Amino acid sequence: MTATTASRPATILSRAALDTWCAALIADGRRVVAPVAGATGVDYQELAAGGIPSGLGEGLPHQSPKATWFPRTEPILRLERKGQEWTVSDPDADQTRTVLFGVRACDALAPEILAPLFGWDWHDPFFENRRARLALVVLGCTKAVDEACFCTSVGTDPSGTGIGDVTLTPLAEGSFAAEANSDEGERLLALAGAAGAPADPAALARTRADARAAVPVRFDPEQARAGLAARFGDKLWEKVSRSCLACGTCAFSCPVCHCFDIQEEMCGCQGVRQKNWDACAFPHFTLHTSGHNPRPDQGTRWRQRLNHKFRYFPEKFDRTLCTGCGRCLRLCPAGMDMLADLQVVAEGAQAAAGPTVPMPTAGPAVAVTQAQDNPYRPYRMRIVQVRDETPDVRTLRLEFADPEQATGFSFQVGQFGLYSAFGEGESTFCIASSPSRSGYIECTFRQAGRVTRALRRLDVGDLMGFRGPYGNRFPVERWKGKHLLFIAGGIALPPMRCVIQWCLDHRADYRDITIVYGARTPRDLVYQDELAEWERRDDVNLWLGIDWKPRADGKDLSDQAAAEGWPAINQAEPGATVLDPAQRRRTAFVPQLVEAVKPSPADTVAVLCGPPVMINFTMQVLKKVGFAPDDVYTTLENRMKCGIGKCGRCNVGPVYVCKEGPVFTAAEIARLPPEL
Amino acid sequence: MTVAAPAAADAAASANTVFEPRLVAFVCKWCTYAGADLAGTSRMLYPPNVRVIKLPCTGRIDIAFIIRAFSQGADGVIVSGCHPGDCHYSAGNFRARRRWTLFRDLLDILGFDLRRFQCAWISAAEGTKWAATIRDFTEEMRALGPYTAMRQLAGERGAPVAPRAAVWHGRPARREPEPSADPATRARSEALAGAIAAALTDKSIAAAVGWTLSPTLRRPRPLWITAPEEADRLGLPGDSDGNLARLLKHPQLTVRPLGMVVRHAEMQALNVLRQESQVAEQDVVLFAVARDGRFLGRLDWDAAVAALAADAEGRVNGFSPEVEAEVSRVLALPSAERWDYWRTQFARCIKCYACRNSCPMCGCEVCLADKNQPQWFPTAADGPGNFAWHVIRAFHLAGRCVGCGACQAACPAGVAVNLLGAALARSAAGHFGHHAGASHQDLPLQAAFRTDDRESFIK
Ligand SMILES: Cc1cc2nc3c(=O)[nH]c(=O)nc-3n(C[C@H](O)[C@H](O)[C@H](O)COP(=O)(O)OP(=O)(O)OC[C@H]3O[C@@H](n4cnc5c(N)ncnc54)[C@H](O)[C@@H]3O)c2cc1C
Ligand code: SF4
Ligand code: SF4
Ligand code: SF4
Ligand code: SF4
Ligand code: FES
Repeated sequence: MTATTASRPATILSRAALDTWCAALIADGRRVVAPVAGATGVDYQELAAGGIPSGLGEGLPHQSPKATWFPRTEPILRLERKGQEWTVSDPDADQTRTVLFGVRACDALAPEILAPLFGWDWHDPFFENRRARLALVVLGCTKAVDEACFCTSVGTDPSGTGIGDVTLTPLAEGSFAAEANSDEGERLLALAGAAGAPADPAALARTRADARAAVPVRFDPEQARAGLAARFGDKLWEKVSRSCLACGTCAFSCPVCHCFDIQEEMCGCQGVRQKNWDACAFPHFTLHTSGHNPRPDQGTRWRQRLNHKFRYFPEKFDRTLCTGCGRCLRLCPAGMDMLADLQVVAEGAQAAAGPTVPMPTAGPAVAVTQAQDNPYRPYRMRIVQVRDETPDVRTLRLEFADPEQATGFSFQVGQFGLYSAFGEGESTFCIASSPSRSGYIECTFRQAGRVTRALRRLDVGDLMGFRGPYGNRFPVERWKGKHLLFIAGGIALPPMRCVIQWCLDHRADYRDITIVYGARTPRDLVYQDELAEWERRDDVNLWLGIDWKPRADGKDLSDQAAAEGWPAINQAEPGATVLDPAQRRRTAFVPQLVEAVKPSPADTVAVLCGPPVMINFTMQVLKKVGFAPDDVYTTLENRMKCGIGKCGRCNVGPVYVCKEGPVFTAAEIARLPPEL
Repeated sequence: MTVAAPAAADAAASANTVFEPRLVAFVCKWCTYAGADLAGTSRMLYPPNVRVIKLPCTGRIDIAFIIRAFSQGADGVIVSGCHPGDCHYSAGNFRARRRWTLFRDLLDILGFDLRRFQCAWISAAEGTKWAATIRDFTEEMRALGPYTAMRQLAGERGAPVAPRAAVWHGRPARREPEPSADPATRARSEALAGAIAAALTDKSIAAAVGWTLSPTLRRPRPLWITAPEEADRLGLPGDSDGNLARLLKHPQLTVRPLGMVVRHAEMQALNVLRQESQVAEQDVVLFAVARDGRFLGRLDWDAAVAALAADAEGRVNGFSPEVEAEVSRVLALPSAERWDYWRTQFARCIKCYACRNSCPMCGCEVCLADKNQPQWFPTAADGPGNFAWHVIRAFHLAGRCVGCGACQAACPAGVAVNLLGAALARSAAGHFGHHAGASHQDLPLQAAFRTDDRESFIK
């Protein structure tokens, strides 16, 4: 869509002329998708040659035409396997020029609303390509279809004035005033045949004003936004969501819902990786492989839907993520009623409330360079080293299989990537090696699900995929001259190892370095070689903790752990323990061990990684000993799919963990909704 | 062991112009696999076209395997195991036999060429039979040519290509406001609400599920309540609303006993769930409402079944006459047209899973469609993904689907979701005299078997 240069007078077209126009558009080599009436209602459908838009003016088609800019399933990568070798390539770009003909304003606005998201730093070529080839001929409404229409409440003009490339305004006598809004609109109109008589501008303006007036404003979005913030923790969400069946109907039918999943499918040696529609209503959407779910019930999921549309998205992209089409009310099998809920929260709310969740700033953003058109295409990496850290944790060292790609590649401390086992899928791991040790990257992962299991089957010499680096980083330069306290639990040492290596490689920049690391059992401590090295160094103060020491038969043996080199600390009063620097291995949960280490908050930055429970308790300890929340850093590990701020999966409130995280300070996390 | 070397078959295929079919055999390890082994060690000659997949028992042959084989390019699939009576797990093959009967019917309903799916009993001693069966099957498939229908599906990820089935009506229409202006209707809904409030008050139920209206569109909305003062929000159900028995699976609604507003549809669903020990009599307290809106009172199980039986009138196996008529029409089509009918129906599906999530029977804690280790379903809403979803769902509901139409009313894309259910209900009735939900005392169709179940189709 190109912007209009000058306003041109609207011309009048008869109903029959619209049919001829569609035929001309098809003859021009365009795909025309238009409302078609059938026995059971109106649908947007591709017109075959000779087909007519028989559903024009018959209310709103059942489903939105979302698939024309965001297909329900769309290949983003082609995979081919030959023996142990894999090639990856981009799918052919869809070259079809599509005209959405007779589309309603509430549907036509959607691509425009989504454009900032799909072009936010990273460009999604699939969406952008389709949108560039999409022309919109908008059919203005003259009245609300039913009580579920609330376009005027969210700033959608039902008359379609100025929306899309051409606006058609139905006139009383059954003809239509056609007005081009863009150069593309002019080109389309030129195909409509002999120019009709010009429409009377005053009458046209009146008709359009009447249309606007015919759809009542049902709530004030600013008030709704304030109300959503104010009632975030309200019981309301549990109550209203009791009917919800957790299907994806509301999101899949919505013209602007855009969350997606990435999955791959092999058939023989050929495969595709594809985007599939996904929805925040599904319990799986945010489910971690560990079983932890940041949004554990339908109440929190429904709350997310409303907050995302009317609060988070507007705060981020300055548009409401809803055009007021009403489909989610009409099509919900359970009679859920977003409009009524918005009216309830908006009522009496103070509209003046500003953004309630300021954007994080502590972890500096890393400038994005999109090296290839298709940001979903991974680099092919060759595995050059495999190390087993524990029975279920493995480290892989990777080098670029196509060495020219290594040249432009760099990453920073704390960033992560998406690693693929070709044919199985992608998993998110941090880059566990330090940028100061270049020529390779390493990842360390615990076998958890499908992808990690497949990655474990790979060996030295095999190919796998990597895309990244993604996310923000640790502000290591801001820490110069400070004491550093690293605290990690279990498999969370890898994200930390990158920054520890960096600081050790720039040892002179920092003062004392203390590392507290704990795991369930001695067997679960990863990077044993490095731990031994850090233990030996006199410029590193390392403390190791285990939860318990198992006997050969797996039974708890904490009482005897002392005898085996892991004496317990004073569990009841960890702070009272006097630690002997000669005895650095103790039986203690990480938070207790931290308390026993008695770190001083003065001039100290604490970095904390681990499972949610550990983080939670350790934060309390750090708070107790006086650390300011701004000096405590951690990384979040929300479920991720795209890694580049498109798929919606990693969101916590308005924050895209994949882009604005994963590094946050405790102060920032405290301002996020409790959906971690 | 001389199981076919697939590479050899492929090589043969490219060297010769004659078509070499790719066949998959799912066999039990005790009988047929041993039989195939015997054929190999005895150096019997049979074509190398078949890839043999060994399973512990025919009972373990999930139909998802068979669909997966076809969607991955098989031209024919054969399933085989121990003769009836010889199963090493005593009855695995009896259950498999029932499933094969239903699955063959399902394939036939879909317009699938049944010659491409064969069943056999081959014992460990029947190496000759194995060799002959494979020889015949290969010959037959060679003559039939490549199986292309499923491969064509693979390219389909586009817009719907056919009108919605006429039996799809979408969501129920806007209702009259509640409380109703009509005194008779109001009295009924007050009686219902009063009975539920009383049960919540005397704590004979911990929560109640019923119906209310959504505020904006006044459409039916399931609701559960825990306090007596909320009871006046409950209204009378309509005829074509969803099925409240679904709420027994609501993850947050775990308290029992649960009061439930039941119509004929819920009662049938409850019967099936009780057959399967998914609900016990004491878990639910029933507030029965007849199709015409009369509140029949708080009834015990058998009384509710009896009181609501009249509402089944005109329905076949629970399905509406309209659905039955459409099924009859479709089944009368030639098989190629049937295939096109379903293909274009499935093509509408956007995989929102509203059909599953509204279904009282689809209550698996983790649906097969949501499992990814292994991933039996292609995840995409494209040709193969939709085919697998609809076929496997229909099969999991064979003998269980009570025809309430909740799925169809829920589907936002206008797929006639419950037609396959209606077609399979005919098989269940025809072959096994089974009517889903007729009584809580029946045995679940796919878990039960008779030693004399039909098997004329098994070689
Ligand atoms: C920023 C960040 C850094 C991380 N760093 C590390 C690290 O360094 N080391 C580490 O071990 N872990 C790390 N994790 C966690 C790690 O990403 C997960 O443990 C891992 O991805 C899960 O393994 P999987 O893919 O094998 O699991 P699966 O759960 O099997 O996931 C496989 C794929 O299938 C999808 N899937 C899952 N369940 C279903 C289902 N039921 N139906 C359909 N699809 C499904 C998933 O979305 C996923 O794409 C990190 C996470 C984040 C966000
Ligand atoms: S609100 Fe309705 S459409 Fe959305 S998930 Fe819940 S039941 Fe499905
Ligand atoms: S949220 Fe609902 S009303 Fe708003 S655009 Fe989406 S489907 Fe339409
Ligand atoms: S997170 Fe937002 S865009 Fe995604 S499905 Fe939910 S409401 Fe729609
Ligand atoms: S409800 Fe309809 S669109 Fe959704 S998964 Fe079922 S058949 Fe497909
Ligand atoms: S938006 Fe896709 S992972 Fe963050």
